[in-house]
Amino acid sequence: MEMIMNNKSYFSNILSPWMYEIGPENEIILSSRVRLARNLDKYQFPSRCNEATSKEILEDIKSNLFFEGNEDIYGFDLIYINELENIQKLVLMEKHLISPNLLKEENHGACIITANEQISIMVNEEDHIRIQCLFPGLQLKQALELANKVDDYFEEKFDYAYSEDKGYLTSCPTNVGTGLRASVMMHLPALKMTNQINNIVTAMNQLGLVVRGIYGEGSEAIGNIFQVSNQTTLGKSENEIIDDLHGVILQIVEQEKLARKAIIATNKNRLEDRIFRSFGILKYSRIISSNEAAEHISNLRLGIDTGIIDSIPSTVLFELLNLSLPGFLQMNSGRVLMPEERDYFRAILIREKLNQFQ
Amino acid sequence: MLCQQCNKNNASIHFTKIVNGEKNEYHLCEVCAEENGAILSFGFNDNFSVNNLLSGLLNINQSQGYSQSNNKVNTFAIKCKKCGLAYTELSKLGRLGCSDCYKAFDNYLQPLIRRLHSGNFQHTGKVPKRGGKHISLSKKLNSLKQELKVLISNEDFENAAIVRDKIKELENQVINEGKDGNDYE
Ligand SMILES: [Zn+2]
Ligand SMILES: [Zn+2]
Repeated sequence: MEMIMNNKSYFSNILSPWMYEIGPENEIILSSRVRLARNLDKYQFPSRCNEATSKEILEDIKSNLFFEGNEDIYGFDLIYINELENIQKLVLMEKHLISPNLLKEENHGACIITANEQISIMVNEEDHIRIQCLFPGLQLKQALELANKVDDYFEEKFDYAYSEDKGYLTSCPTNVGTGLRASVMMHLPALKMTNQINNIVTAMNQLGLVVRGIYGEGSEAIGNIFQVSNQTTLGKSENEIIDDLHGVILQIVEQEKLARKAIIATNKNRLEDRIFRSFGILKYSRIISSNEAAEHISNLRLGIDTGIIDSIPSTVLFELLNLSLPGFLQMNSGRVLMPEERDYFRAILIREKLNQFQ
Repeated sequence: MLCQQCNKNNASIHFTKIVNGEKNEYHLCEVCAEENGAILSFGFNDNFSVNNLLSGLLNINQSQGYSQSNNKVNTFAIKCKKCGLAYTELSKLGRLGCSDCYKAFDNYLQPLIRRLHSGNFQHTGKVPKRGGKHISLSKKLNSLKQELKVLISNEDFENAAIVRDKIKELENQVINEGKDGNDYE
């Protein structure tokens, strides 16, 4: 089954189809993600494989999943990373469907995805198989359930590296046991504005959770978007890990809601000013850096979530953030762009997008 | 400020990654940041600074191993028999080579694993249903039967006999597995 992937929607659509759905706690939790790390027992772990073995592993997985007469219920599609253009690789990374680890040519990386881009299985990443499920809003349980089903489907076909006391054996001992990394992406602008974010990050760390920004200086996450995930994978069951994370996340959601209410109660004019200034900059600027764009996009989204701006759908945050990333920028302009050109094209694309909502 | 990596372009992306209090500052140009996947690693790079941390911990464990046991076991000489990974490589890379490595380096991994997983060392989560072994056996059987056909049609009876014995052996295994249900080895 030879496939030509170049015209697939994965590369041209700015958002994954699932991102248009509204999930629980959508105004604060942007997405939930569950990842299971698995290895095939008969092969060495990827970091120890030579090129030939990596290729063999990919062939093994392919021949067990993609053969005539085999219909999986998911509609899996196989993408060979080495067959992609650089810009296509970037776009898949920007959608979080693949990771930078997958790109090395000698790794023979592949990605098995579904049409709505909700399931993405990386082959030959740090582990042989990494099953990832993405959901809008706070849906960790749903994400785990789906990931477990996909895992069962794989387990029918492959012998996993597993031991009774250590669980699923992974290339890195930080993932051993359940191989489960659960995370949510949160938009926390009000906790930032009210200077509570550092305390909250510290508290989450103390509870054994890992907090990261997309990128930013100091502990500030540009765009006020934070990823919170579990640190330990061994000793608790999958459900316990998810429940614990879910519980902490709900508390942060409450704190963010309180902070938003407090700002509106005491400083509504200032908040409106801030939001409309950002709206203006996004609408009219001619050159804009990714950092500056992210800051204003965050304000715009806060404006939408607080009802201050009502003419724009909330998905605009993901749309504008993704549009601003190098892969999409270059995909849209149809050529390789130098960094200074990117700031110019970014401003154009953001303006065009916002003009659609007039 | 120049880009830390290429020392050519202006560093336009400045960020600090803080993972549980461990701070790393980065000043990169957009091109290098992109190459590193620094911007994009969001959501994936679970082990950003774990590599160094791991090798650090393994080295501590190693020196503890010396003082505790006080015998002259040279930890550096320990190797995994299946994949050949040596302890020195493990402590440098922080990555295991294969599933057997967990047994081969058990003494050194055990304290590390406890430290990484807040004192836990026993898996209590999901158990694979173990459908896989049976299916891969019958798959192997099929390909051997194909091979046998080809050998016979080529009149290579010597090798055909060898393959036929393999098939018999596998068929017995399949039958036994059926009896044992989903037992583990
Ligand atoms: Zn550079
Ligand atoms: Zn090994």
